[in-house]
Amino acid sequence: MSNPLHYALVVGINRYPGISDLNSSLRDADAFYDWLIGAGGVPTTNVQRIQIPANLTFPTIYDARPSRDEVNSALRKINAAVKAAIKPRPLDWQATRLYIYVSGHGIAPDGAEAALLMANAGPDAWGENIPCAAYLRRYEKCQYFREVVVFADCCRLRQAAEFSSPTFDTQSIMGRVDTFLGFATQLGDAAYEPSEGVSPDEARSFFTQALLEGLNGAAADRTSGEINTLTLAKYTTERVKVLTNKKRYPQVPKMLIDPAQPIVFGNIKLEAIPKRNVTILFPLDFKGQVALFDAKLQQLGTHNADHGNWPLLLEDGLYEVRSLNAPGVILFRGGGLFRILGVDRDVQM
Amino acid sequence: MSKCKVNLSAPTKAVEILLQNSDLDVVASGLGSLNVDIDPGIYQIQYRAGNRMEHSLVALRSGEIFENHAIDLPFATPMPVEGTSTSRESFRQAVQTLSQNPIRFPDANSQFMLFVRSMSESSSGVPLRVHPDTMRGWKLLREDATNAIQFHEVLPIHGAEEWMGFSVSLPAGGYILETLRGSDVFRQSVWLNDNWITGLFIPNSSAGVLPEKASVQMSRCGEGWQGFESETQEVIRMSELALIALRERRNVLPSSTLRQLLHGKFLNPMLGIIGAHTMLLEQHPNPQFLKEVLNNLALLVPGHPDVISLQKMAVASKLLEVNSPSVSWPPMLAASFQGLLAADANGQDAITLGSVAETVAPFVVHSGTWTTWRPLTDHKPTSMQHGDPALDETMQLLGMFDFDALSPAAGQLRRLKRVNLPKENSQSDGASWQRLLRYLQESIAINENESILDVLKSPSLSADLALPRNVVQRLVDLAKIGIKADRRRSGFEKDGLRFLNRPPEEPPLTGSVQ
Repeated sequence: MSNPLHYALVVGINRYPGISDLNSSLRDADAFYDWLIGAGGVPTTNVQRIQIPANLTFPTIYDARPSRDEVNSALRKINAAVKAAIKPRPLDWQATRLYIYVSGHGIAPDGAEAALLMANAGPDAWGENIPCAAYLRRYEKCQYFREVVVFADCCRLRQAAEFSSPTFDTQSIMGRVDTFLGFATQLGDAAYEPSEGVSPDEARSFFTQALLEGLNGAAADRTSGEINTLTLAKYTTERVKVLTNKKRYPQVPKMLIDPAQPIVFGNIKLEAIPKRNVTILFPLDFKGQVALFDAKLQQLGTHNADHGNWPLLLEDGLYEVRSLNAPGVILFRGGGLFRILGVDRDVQM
Repeated sequence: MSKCKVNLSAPTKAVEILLQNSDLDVVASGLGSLNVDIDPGIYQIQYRAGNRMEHSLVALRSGEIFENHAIDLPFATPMPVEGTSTSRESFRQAVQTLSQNPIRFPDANSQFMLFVRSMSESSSGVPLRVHPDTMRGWKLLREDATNAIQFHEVLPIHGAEEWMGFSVSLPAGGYILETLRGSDVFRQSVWLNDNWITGLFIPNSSAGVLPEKASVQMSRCGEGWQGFESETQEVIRMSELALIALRERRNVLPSSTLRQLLHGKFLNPMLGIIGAHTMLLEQHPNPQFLKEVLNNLALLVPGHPDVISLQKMAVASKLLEVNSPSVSWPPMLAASFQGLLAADANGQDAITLGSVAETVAPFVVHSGTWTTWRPLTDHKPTSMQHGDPALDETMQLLGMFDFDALSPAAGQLRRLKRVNLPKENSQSDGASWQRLLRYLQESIAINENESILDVLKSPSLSADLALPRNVVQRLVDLAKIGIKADRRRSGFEKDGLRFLNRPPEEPPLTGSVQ
């Protein structure tokens, strides 16, 4: 479904001559762009992409692109476009939405901010950044769009820097602006990108991976099939934690959200909600009947462990496997409790 | 089918507890404890304290009770309090010894103490060693930037115990902690009150000594360090968690613990300052209680810039109506300085004209919990600005061009870039001027029909620039003069372009135009 009044800015930066290069930011930005013009329904003409090819070289750090000015200019074009689009029918403002997606190196002054470092940033110029929360707040004030959604897949390392506010002027008063802001990590933490076990062409930053899984259906509400800011925040947060739980410090995304005003990204049919291939592995010496229970403790099925492992197709959620030979006795690791989230997996009892 | 019960509590009360269902909805949450009746089912319980986070699953059938009253998430704190993950008795003993044996200066009624210890291990699992070289070049400066203490001259090292530190008695007032990170120099605000020890506890890590992650606590002079009695250690642990949460602008203290923290201010006013900040993060702070807390703090540590900043913040939030003096010295907590600037931008006379607090504002960098700025001489511009030879040359070449003929706003901005601040304007004003120019440049790039004068009239200018109102007003006046000055010139047209005649005599200006 096309949403002609939805607009987007997509920024991905791999090349940082003054810091260090990244591997997956451009691919992440591409993947998010694909979602925008696909399931997201944003017309291609409404998307401003700022993605400088990774093989482009710059004579000096000062010439590196993109810079703050390019981002501000792109936003200026978007602001002008939406203004022109609703001019004949001002009430159409209700249908306007802006997505801002940024991926690259990042820093943060406090818990409510994440700033994308621009390509010309470096130890002598950390101020070359786009503070996402400040931009969001300004859009909230200027009211160019009814809804503004910002995703920042970058680190939020504490770095001494100036954080310059955007300078959009106040629009005429249009109405309440709903916002959503998703940061890849908590303050002071790194946002990882996969470094091993993944083909470089397929690698995504964990936050973007989880975000796209969620937007593509995994974050759908189990009863309505709706994907909104609430369901997306829950899914992405938990999924990133799972994806990074082997890291020294798991990555925990931070979502700033108004629970009373969820923004809807889409609806999918209930039968399209993803199911995962799960195999229950039993201890070698375990024999007998077991039962599987869902989160409401409804029995979903039984299995004879004498016949080996138990292959299942399950939705994301919490489950329990219990021995029917000795109900009430904990025979399995973790009490037989396990969680499925976003991925096929083997579960060792 | 009857309800189930979940009863959870943590001895360390500032543990955040979340109970989530299978759809990841939070069905109940608590700080320090959680007692709820819930429907039978499988749930995930998440625990969080500081940088530690754990979770577990639980299945509850009809009428079952799940209890855990020993939730323990040891977390690391810069202050070596018992019950944190990297603390040792020997650290606490060292702090006691330092606090009781300060280097004495005449006429000094207050005390500064520095304590650095390792909070992590190397990759091989060996505790990190502290080394004085990591603090070479660190200083405590007086207000006039003269040396009060050179750290390497007074820093006893106990390598075997992985700590180093010193204590010194000094006259009360504002000091500057100057630190080095690589080749970068940073300055941090320190405030000392008569009869109080201000203790700075800094973690040592594989990345070096980290002042931005320091903890600051206080204790009465002459009584040794009072923070390690069993009844106060718990409160200190809470304050460390509150400080971590303050960085993320979250409140993690249950109200009973917050009251404990605030009560602790009589032995350690920093607890009250952190507690008052935490109160301001509450959805509905109790104005009467806040007033009582701030009044007591004002009596305990008169003139403390963080306390006055909190009063200004409370007034700005319409919680209190108190007259407090303006602040001259930058508050220690970054949250206090941000609040102070916001209160100032909001119309209160919050920052004293010409004070250190005003002077350092354009040099402040966001770098963690504490108010930090680059030294005035060390300021690195982040964009091309006046003083850049290439720009100056261009300006000279274009000096005769009437930029108004091209675009009024762009022309006005070009002219402003050629304004030399009068000599009586400080280096600080110079940095503020550059920040204003950059703001104007971005403003007109985005709103091409807007004039510079319109931007200068913006009521949010001071807040947008994060600069004191007095400074912004000075610069706005100067900018208006700069713009008007060029308007007085006569001009001529050539080849379709408009040029300005240089007047035989420049009118006297506060800001001169090249």
